[in-house]
Amino acid sequence: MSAPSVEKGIQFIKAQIDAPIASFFSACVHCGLCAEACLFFTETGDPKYTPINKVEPMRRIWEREFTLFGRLKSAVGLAKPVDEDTFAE
Amino acid sequence: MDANELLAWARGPGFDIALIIFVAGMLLRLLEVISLGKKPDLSAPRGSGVEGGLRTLLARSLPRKAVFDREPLRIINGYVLHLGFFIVLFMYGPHIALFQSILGFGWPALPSGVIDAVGAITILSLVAALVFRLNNKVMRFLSTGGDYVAWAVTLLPVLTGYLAYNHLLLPYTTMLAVHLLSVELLMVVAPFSKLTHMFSFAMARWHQGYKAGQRGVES
Repeated sequence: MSAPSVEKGIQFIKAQIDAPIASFFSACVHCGLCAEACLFFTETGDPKYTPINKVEPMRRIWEREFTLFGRLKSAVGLAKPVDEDTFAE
Repeated sequence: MDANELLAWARGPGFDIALIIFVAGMLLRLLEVISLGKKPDLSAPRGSGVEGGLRTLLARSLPRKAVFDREPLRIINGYVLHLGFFIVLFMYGPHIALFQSILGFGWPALPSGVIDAVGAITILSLVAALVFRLNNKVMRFLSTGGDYVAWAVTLLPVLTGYLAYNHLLLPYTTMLAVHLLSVELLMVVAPFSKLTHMFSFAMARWHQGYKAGQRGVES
């Protein structure tokens, strides 16, 4: 995947983020119970199919674009980037 | 600085600073979410969003049967942890006196012996929560440093409160000061961690229920 299409992907995800989606991220406590409601997880037992993990790139974009703390984090280089590898996964 | 001075600082300036960070930080975090707004929904609603939102706000306090059947212990422990924390925070006489001094009104307290027992249960429940987090492969996979920090800053106030009440480990005045400082740490960390869920859970449930209500589906 080329750099422009990564950028396009990021912009597409960014455009989807609204107050409901941000509220879901800010209320998530990593309890992991959503995995038990997902048949991809219950059938494979692989934690990478946990629903909240599937939207992790979106969470990262939300954090760095729409939260003060996330912006500070990416400004000092502490934030995990969303790049080609993220989308490949 | 001796124990009395430390206690005086923790009761005075320390508490004020922590309270300001807690309130301002939480408002910032919530406004960050609210200010994103919502795109207009062009489809004709099939039911009431408000009704769905309010219903989900309450209904999500109960587990789904299918999920409960798979993970009963973790869900029960979640209730014990939260109810225990609320009881020791809001039903202990000296805590209510503090709330009264800030809010201007109080409410009846539970006997301190009951609070002592509930405190012990809450500590055990928090330890159990950590054991679950470390032993469940999904939770271990999802966990970040922030999850463990949030766990520690939640445990410390309960633990030090219990130790202070029972005059264990440190002289009472010192332990009381440490207890207050640990509460202040919790207040400072909360807005910048997943502990924002103490307020944002309501927004998340509202939006989820609202959408389901408008679509006329169960949530």
